[in-house]
Formats: sequence, C-alpha cells, structure tokens
Amino acid sequence: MLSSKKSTLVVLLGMLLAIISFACSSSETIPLHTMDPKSDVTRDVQGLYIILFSAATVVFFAVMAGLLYITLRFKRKPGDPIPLQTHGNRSLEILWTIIPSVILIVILVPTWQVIYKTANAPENSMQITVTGHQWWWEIEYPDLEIATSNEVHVPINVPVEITLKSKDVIHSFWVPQIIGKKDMVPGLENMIWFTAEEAGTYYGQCVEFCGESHANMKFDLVVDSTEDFEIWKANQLQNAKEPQGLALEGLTIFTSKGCTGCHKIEGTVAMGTIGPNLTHIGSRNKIAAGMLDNNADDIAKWIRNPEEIKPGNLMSKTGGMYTDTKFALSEDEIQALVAYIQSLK
Amino acid sequence: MATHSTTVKGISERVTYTGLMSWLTTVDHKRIGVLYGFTAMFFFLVGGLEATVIRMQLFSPGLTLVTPGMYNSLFTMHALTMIFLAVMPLGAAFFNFIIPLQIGARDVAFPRLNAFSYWVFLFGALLLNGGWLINAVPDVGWFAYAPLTANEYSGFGTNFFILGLLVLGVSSVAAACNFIVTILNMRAPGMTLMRMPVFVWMTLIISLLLVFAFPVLTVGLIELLLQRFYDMQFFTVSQGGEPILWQHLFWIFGHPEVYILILPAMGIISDIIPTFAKKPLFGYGFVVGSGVAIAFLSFAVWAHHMFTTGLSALTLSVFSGATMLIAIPTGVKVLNWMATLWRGSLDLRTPMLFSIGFIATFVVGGLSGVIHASPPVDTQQQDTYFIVAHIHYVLFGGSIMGIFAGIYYWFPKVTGRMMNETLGKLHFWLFFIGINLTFGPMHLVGILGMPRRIYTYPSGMGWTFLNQIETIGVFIIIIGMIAFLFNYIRSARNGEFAGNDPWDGRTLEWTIPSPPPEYNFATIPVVRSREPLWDTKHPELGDNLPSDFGTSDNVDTNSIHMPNASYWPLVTGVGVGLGGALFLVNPILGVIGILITTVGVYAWSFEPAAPEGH
Amino acid sequence: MQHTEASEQQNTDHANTTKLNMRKLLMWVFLGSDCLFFGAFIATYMLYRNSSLVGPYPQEILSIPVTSASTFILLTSSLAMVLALTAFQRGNTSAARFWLFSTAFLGCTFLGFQVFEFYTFVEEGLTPQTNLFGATFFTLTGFHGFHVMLGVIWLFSLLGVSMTRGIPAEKSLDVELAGLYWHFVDIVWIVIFTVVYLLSSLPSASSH
Repeated sequence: MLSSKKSTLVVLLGMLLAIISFACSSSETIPLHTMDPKSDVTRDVQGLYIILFSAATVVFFAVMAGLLYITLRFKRKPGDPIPLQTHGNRSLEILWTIIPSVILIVILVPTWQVIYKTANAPENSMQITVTGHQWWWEIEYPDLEIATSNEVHVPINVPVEITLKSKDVIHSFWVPQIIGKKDMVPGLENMIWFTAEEAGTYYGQCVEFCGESHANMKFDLVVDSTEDFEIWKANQLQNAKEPQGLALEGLTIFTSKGCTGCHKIEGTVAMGTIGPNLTHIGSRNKIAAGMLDNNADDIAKWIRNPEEIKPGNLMSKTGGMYTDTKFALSEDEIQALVAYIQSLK
Repeated sequence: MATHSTTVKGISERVTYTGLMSWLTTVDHKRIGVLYGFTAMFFFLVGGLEATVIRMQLFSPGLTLVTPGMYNSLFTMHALTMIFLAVMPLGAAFFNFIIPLQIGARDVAFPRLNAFSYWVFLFGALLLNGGWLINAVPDVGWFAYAPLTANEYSGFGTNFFILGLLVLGVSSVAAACNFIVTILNMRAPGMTLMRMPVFVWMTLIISLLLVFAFPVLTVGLIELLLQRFYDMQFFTVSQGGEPILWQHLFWIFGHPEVYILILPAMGIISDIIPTFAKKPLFGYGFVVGSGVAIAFLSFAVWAHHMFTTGLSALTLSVFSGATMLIAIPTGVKVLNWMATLWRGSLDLRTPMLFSIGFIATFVVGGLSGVIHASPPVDTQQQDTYFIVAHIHYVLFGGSIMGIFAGIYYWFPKVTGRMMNETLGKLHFWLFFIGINLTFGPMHLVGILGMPRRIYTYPSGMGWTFLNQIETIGVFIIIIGMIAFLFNYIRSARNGEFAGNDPWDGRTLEWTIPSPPPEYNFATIPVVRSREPLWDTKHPELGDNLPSDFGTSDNVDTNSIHMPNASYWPLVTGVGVGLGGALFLVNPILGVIGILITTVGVYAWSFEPAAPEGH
Repeated sequence: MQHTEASEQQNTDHANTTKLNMRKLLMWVFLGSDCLFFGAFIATYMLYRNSSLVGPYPQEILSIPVTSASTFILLTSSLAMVLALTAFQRGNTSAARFWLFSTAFLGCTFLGFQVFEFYTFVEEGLTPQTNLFGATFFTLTGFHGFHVMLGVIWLFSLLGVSMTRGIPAEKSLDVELAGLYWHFVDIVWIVIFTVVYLLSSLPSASSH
C-alpha cells in the first residue's frame, strides 16, 4: 500500500497529464474554439483568461492535493486517541483571508484594465449594424449603404465597430476568435468593436436562448484581405445579377409565389424586409443562417422543407407554399428557384 | 408554566388523528420534514429523468430523440424542478426535522404555518408541472428572459411557470419567517447565538435571504403575469418597456437564491466533519462570519449574470469586484473545513466521504465561478457549457453531495436504524466518478465553444467525443441513485438499530432517542457550550462545561404540552394552490381560491393552537 | 402587576430567548419581506417614470391636493390605531372599540378616495394598458390598496371579536399585531405619495 504522500502525487500527476492531453487544439479543427484569438480584443481577453485559469488551476491542485493528503494521512486507525481539540487560530484566519484577497486583487486589476481598454471603439472605426431576428442575422453597413444577411465581411487590420440590435427577442452575437459575445437586446443598441488580425472565415453562433430554433442561428464572419474586401464591397453595391434561362424561370416563380413579400433583392420587385436580403446570396458560404452549404442540393433541401431545417421558422409558418397544399412547390419549381438563388452572386 | 386565568372556549383534550388524516393534519415538524423529504426526492428523480433525456439527445450530433420544442421544455423544467422542487425542499426537510432538535426545542415557532408551507409547496410543485398534462410545458429557460416570455413569442406553458413560482414563493417565505422566529426565540437555555450548530446558523441566514429575495421575484412574476394576461406592457419595447428590467428583478432574487441552495449543504458538512474527525470545527466564528458576509454580499453581485447585456464599464467593474470579493469568505470556509480535518482522527464512513467529496467538487465549481467573475473572460464563457459545468459542480457537486451527506448522517435519527455502509460507499464513489465524468468535460467543451441550450449540434465542432463521455457519466450517476434507493428502503425496514448516538455525536439531536418521541426532549436541556453533548461526554478534554440534559425518569411525558393537529393549514394551502391553478383556467375562477383561503385563514385564527391550560 | 404578567402570556409563547413575542417577531419579519415587495414595484415605477410613449402623463393627471387629503386621512387612521391599542391595553373597552372602528372607517375612506381616483383616471383616458405610467401606477397603488383592504378587513374582524367574545388586556397583542401592519401600510403610502405624486411635479428629464 502506497504511503499517503506517494498516492497523492500519483493521482495528481495523472490529473495533470489528462489536462495537458486536452490542452492542445486550435480553431482549425474546432470552429468555435474560445482560446484561439485572431483579433486584438480577443487577444487581450485571452491574456486575462490565462491569468485566471492559471490561478484557478494552482488553487485547484493545492486544494485537491491537500484534501487527498489529509484524507489518507489522518484516516482513523483502531486504537487512535481522541485528537487535540483545536478550536482555531486567529493568525491563521487572518493570513488565509489576506492571501486570497491579494490573489483576487491581482486578478481584478487586469480585469478592470481590459474592461476599460475594450469599452470604446477607436475613432473612425468601420460601422456595421447587425440586427438579430428569430433565427437569422440582418447586416447593414450604414456608411457604405450595404445590406446583406447572415455573413459579415470585415477587412483585416481595420477597427470595426458593430452596433447590435434585435427585432424580436434577446439574441447574442459571438465569434469567439474575433470578438467576445454581447447580447442583442430589443430596445437597446449594444456596441462591440475589434480589429481582426488574421484573414479567414470564422464561425459565429447566437448564444442567448431565443426560442425554438436557437440552436439553428449561426453566421460566418469573413475577414478579408484589403483587396478582397474591396471586391466584396463593390459586388455588394451592385444590383442583383440579371437571371437567364432556368434562373429567370426561378425569378418568375419567386415573384408569383409571393417570396417578394418577405425578401429583398435589389433591382427587382422583391422589396420585402421581413426576411433576409437575398441580393447576393449566391456568393455566400452558407445558407439559412449557417445551417446548410450553398450548393444546389442544400438550397433545394431548404426550399423544399424549411421546417425540417429550422423548426418554427417564419417562412414555413407564413409562406403560402407551405401552409396551403394548393400552392405547394413542385420539384421543377424548386429546381428553378435553386437556379435563381445560385445566380444571385 | 402558569395557567391561563381566562376561560378559553374550546377543547382541553389535545386534538389528534390517526392514519392518513394524521398526516394531512400533522403540525409535527418531524413529520413535515419527512413529507418534504419524500416529495423532494420524488422530484429529484423527475429532474434526473429530464436530465437523462437531455443527455441522451446530446449523445451524438443531429439526434432526433426529442423535438426542439420538447428539448427546450426539458432543460427549462430540469432546472426549475431541481432548484425549486428538489434542492430547496430537501434543505427544508432538514430544517424541519433537525433545527428544533439542534436547538433543544419541541417544535417550531408556528407549527400550523409550518404545515401550511409544506402543503403550498406540494401544490406549487404540481402546478409548476401541470403543463405536462395539457402539452403546455414551460420552454423559455428557467430564468425566462423577456421578451421571449411575451405572448407573442411563447406559449401557454409560460403561465405555468409564473403561477407555479408565485405559489412556491408563498411556501418559501412562510417557512423562512417561521424558521427565523424559531431560531431566534426557541433556543434552549444557555444556547447563545455563538453556541448554535453551524447548520442552525446557515438555516437562519438562508431564511433571511429568502425573506428578502423572494419578494423581488414575486414582483417580476406579477409584472409578467399582468403583461401576459392584461396587456400591461412592462417588458414590451414598443411601449417603452425594457426587457433588462426583468433580468434585474430576476437576478436580484436569483443570486441570493444560489446561496440559499448551497448554504444548507455547507451547514450540514460543518456538523458532520467535526463529528467524524473527532475535533471541533476549526474557526467556528470565522465560518459563521463568512456565512453572514456571503449573505450580505449576495445582494450586491446579481449583475454578474448580466455581464454581456451591455452594462457600462463602471457597472462591470463594480460587480466583478463584488463577485470576486464573495469568493473570499467562501474560501475561508473551505480552509476551515480542511483545518478541522487536519490532525483529526478521520472516520471515513459514508457521511464523511460525501462531506469530503463535497469540498472537492464544490471547490471546482467555485474556481470556475471566479474565472467568469471577470467580465472580459465572461464574454467567452457566458452561455457556454463552461457555465453549465460551473452550475453543476456547485449544485450537484456541492448542494446535492452535502444533502446526501446529511441524509446518511441523520437517517439513523429519523428512522432509528443505520443505513448499509457498503452500499453507501458504493453510492458515494458512483456519484463522485459520475459527477466528474458528466460535468468535468463540460468545462472543456465550453472552452471549445459549445453554447448552452442547443438541442443538437453539428459534427465537426470537436464536441462529439466529450458529449459522449458526459452522457455515459449520467448512467453512472443513475446506478448510484439505484444503490441509494435500495439502501434506503432496505435499511428503513431492516437496518441495524441505531440508538441515540450512533456517530459519537457532538450536538443536541444525539441526546434523544432515535427516532425522537413526539415531544423531542423530555426535559429541555440547559446548554453550557457549543458542543453540549461532546463536552458532557468528555469533560476531561477541555475547559468546556458539561451541559445538563436531565433524565426522562421522573418526567410525566403525557403532561408535555404539544400543539393540536389541524386541517386548516391544508385547507388554506388548497386555497392558495387551487387559486393559482384556477387562475390559469380563467382568472375570474381564481376568486374561488381566494374564498377558500379566506375561510382557512379565519378558521385557523380562531382555532386554539394548543389545548387549554397551556 | 397583574396585567403585564398576563399580557406577556400568549398562547404558544414558551421559550423566548430574545424576549420578543413570537407573533410580533413574525410580523416584523413579514413586514421586512413586504418592504422588498413594495420596493421592487417602486423601483419599476421609478425606472419607467419618464418612459411612457403616450399620455396621459403623471403631471397632467395626478392631483396632489386631493391625494394630500387622502394621505392625511390615512395618517390620521394611524393615530386612531395607536389610540385603539392603548385603550385595549388599559382595558378601556368602549374607547377601544370606538378607536378601532375609527381606524377601519378612515381606512375605508382612504380606499374610497383610491377608487374615486382610479375611476377618474380611467375616464380621463389612463388605464393600466394605456402606457407605462398606467401600468406601473395602477400596479403600485393597486397592491397598496389591496394591503389596506386586507387591513380594514382585519380591523373589522377584530372589532367583531371585541364585540362578541371580547378582547381583554392580556390579549391586546392581537390588536398590536394589526397595528404594526397598519402602520407599515401607512409608511409605504408615504413613500408612494412622495415618489409618485410629489416627484411628478418636478421637471422631468423626459423627451416628451
């Protein structure tokens, strides 16, 4: 039987190994990884995170080691006398009140520093407004007069300030590698800001329970190189591409089935503002707020049965082609619509 | 005891009943404690079932075990059930049974009010779950943020949430008032506040927290009710309302609530550890003082649940400071428990195992809490499984472990028999392993970005393997529960007889028979130290005076005055519960509840509490 | 003295570590809780003081003169309550019943003023549904009025007991408890009167 000291060491080493074995990972394999900062703000948060985590880990090991040691060392053996009836020790109490207080002040000071540092956006930040809806994201660039949905583009190394709003219930905007979360509260305008430092496509998700399809409300935040952003911007400012062939048929169906009532496609009769702006949907990575890929099969899947992808969504609840079998879409009509959607680059 | 000189019209024989009626009319704190205990344990199993389904749904990406709507109801009800119908009433079960015994009293200050609290709790519990019957289960999350709870965005289930909690609030506040008066006023002679067992102190603190925190929730619930039923737009943005108001009202209650959930367990293990270490609690004054500090601070930290809602930098700084501050008294308690164990003579039987296990798992929960006490860090942790890990380490690894410690510790006193030690140890290890396997990986999966309250997740997120471990952990916990239930039922029937003092105890409850007679103490003890029984058994050990327990030989126990049984608490409770339920059918019908309550209150007021000559 | 000894003995009051009567302590704890109840409604009112998007607005519709009168009546009822209690404690039954009745009567008058005010407001276009002022005002004063109503019922019940089986000096605690409750309700009204009525006459920071 190992001595209590040896047993303690063995168990602690085991725990340490387990933690280390999980420690190494990155957002390449884990899209929502929260400890892989790619912007200035998340880098500051990460620094703080590591301080706190380290302090907590040290305390954790100290307490566990202590408990383990105590339990093994002082376990009662037959014949043991009644132990000394110590009632307390005032100096010890003071000491172990002061030490945690000091540790906490050590944690609190950088906390306050980061709070104030990240509180206000730099002057002349690029302005974006994101409005949360059940269960998609409305995105506007007020100064650039761009409106889109579900995919935010930002240029690298440029400070960006996002105003967060909501049309219905509380949502929360979060792209862990780029910016920590902030709630989108109806009636409020909450601000976040960051400067992205590495180009790429980042995964974002709603993180405030917002109803039936809360789990199905995702988005992409694309950090473009300076040139790519200009290209994207120029494209966004154009009206929708004129459709040809099957896609043109799709536009006709789009209009006749009343999709124009909810969706906006610049340069067409579709002027609806209830649902996402589809002007350039063809050029996005995903559709249905991060739910499906932007390919023919997935688009068809969505149009065929949106309720299956995003239960409770407004389109299935109010769209005539879903609520009334008289107006249901035939497979041909769906294919035409898919062609149209894909053409909206 | 002087006799009344006034003539009181009424019965001079004590009112009692037998059989089922005796349970329905009981005002005996021990019976009420048992009622709370069994009801709460039932709901603990219900909450556990809800959790099991949740974890099965999350075993793999894209499972369709339940619909999204059902999943949302499950996590809402799991939390509501565990918090309000399991952990709180399990605490109440202990307050009821044990407090009078630990302070040397024969009952609580207001026995009928005590019974009323139980009945209202039962009806509130049924009302909260009433939605299952008509497929209208609350599905807005247990903290039910506005505007999701508006008529526009949520269904009838939200009404069960509102009325259920309103009714439960009545129960909790009534019980809390009762315990404050009991603890302040009914202590045995010589038991000063600083001689009370720590469990009694914690109960006093919890009761004060309840009394001051619950009304704020009640107001929020009433405002939500008025909005949903009568179009009074408290939280509607289009009318100028602010959804954040709900959050403030809820969390001003909600934060003290979490201390209400953890302090009973802390009190329980503060009694168990000295007994099983054969040493007094180290730093009693500091442990008590920490409890008081935590109580005060708990009203100053609520906005840490709202760090991501858009609070100003100043507000964030103040609340993060206060939250970190509250870690200090908590840490002091942990260190004092460890110092009690240090150089003790540790008896590692089941109550002690659960107590030490409590310290280990609670500390993990406390540390994760300190991490997200920092608002910038919280922007990455809020609403992820990291928070879920924190919650469950403090509530399961903390409150539940402590409560089971108490069950094993006081089972002999309640039933007169011992639980099986082997099964108890098995239960402990299964729980300890199960809790760490289920909730440990949640820290990691939260760091890897998994949000909470999602009914499914895609593959390729890096979460699948961890979720599978977590689900397996649940089944280990379930086996542990089976071991416990089997042990409980078998031991209650056939366990070894316990005698008065099976653990070589230190406090008053171990001076009387197991189970205690109806009047608890034949003679009210005269207390001369903090650990009256221990100091009387071991005068050689220190300079504490022995206490005076008298002998039951020459006491005519028939002449001990006990309160009458009464059915008016039940009737009044029915009025409150039925009023809530009928309101949901049609608000006008709530009047029936008011009428029944009024009749109950009047009859209760005019009924003599105890036989004449008392 | 005979009556002090007797007034210390009440039904279930045995152990009495703090020497505070059990039921009195219970009432104090309950009133402490009720403070938070009203406090939360008052906080809601104050948060929304300037948030109503449409009128009627407080300064337009609240009548400080009329409410001052009803406030005075409620305050007087507290005086009557004190007189009732001392009369009961002295065993002066007829005076006691008179003052008890007066308290309840003045309470009813206060309630009458409230009903009149609510009715007038609805006539003038302010309902609980009209705006946030309506919602918060009617809820706050409504719950207060409900507390007053319960108090009035309690007082009349005590009067009934006094007139049937009697309330001797030793049982004056029953009246004292009602008195504590009554004074609490009165104090809450003073806060409401200040926050809702008096503050409404101050220039507000609102945008309308």
